[in-house]
Amino acid sequence: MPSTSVAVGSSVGLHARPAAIIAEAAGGLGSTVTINGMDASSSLMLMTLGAKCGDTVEVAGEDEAAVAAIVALVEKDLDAD
Amino acid sequence: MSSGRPSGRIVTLTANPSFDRTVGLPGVLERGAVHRVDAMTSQAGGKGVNISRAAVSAGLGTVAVLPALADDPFVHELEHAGIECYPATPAGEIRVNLTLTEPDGTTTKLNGPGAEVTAEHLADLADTLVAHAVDGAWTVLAGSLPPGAPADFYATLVPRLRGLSRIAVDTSDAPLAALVDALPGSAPDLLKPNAEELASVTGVDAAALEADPGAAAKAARTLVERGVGTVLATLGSKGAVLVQADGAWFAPPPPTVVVSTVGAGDSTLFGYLLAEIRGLAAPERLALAVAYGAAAAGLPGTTIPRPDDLHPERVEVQPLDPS
Repeated sequence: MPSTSVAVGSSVGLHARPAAIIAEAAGGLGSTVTINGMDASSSLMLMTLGAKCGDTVEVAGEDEAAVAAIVALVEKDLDAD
Repeated sequence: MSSGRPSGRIVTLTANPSFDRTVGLPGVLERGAVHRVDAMTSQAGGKGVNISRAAVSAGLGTVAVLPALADDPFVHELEHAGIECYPATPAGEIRVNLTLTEPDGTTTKLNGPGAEVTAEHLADLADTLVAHAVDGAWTVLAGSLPPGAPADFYATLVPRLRGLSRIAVDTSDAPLAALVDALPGSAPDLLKPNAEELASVTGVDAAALEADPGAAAKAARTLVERGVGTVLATLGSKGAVLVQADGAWFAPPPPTVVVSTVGAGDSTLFGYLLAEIRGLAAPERLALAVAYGAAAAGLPGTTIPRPDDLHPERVEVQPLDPS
């Protein structure tokens, strides 16, 4: 199963707005993607990870493009704009 | 796999630990007969232990304080499971709770009493807990007290822990009654009664509380008015209500095939603590609590839900009228 290690780019970590943005994107992929074993489409589950800015997390899923899409969001500072 | 650094640890007290042994019988249990058993399992148990296990499973650090010898198999089992243990002087051997199961589902339980404790044992246990509470975001006082312990053990422990960490209490009968009698001095940050326990300390009928979340919230509010920070009241298959000074919420569980409700209350409490440690708002804390409880009810025995068993997005939280 494709899986990628990536550092969290959002300054607040995987919390609040970044978690909501990632969950919404993951929910629309049509293929399950997990972050450290948590379903990426649930913002609540993402927030229970407590991952801070700079922490390394593991993004995994069956579909390589879906994993890449979530990796791109995790490493971006989603709080910046 | 690397994960986020744990930003909050949970310290648990198990005052009356037990080895939970389950014996599976191939047929009907007969008095006076010799039985050959199919299977026998043994697990270190207790409400505090269950919460520490859930913490490990969710990636949180956890510390368990309990009366046991440092080299007791009970302590080894917990350490092997990733739980940091601080044993206090035990009064005797750890008790055994024996469950006999028959193929038709009939279950017979034989619960050991535990060794009688003295004031010295309890003082050592309390001192050990106070010394380690400062390491935790939360300290959880859960379960029954051993024989010989005064009913107000938790009620007198809460003021000693205040300021060291936040405090959660989940107990029943005389220890719960003593805690409520000593409010507001004994007020924990979180109290997690079930309907029966909430009924016993508010003088309301348990069935009425389980049937009506509004009535449960109203009863819980009387405890918040007496100083308890938050009341998380579990209503069995009906879900749970969360009441604090600034609001009240109700959440029914998502559709669940119930396998075993043993330990579901402990999982519910843990879900709340995890969400609180992660900085989530009250309705989200209730959603995660109910998701944890429902997931635990769908798993056999006291099995702790893993993150992929959880579906908080299927839990619908409803605000309740505060009056």
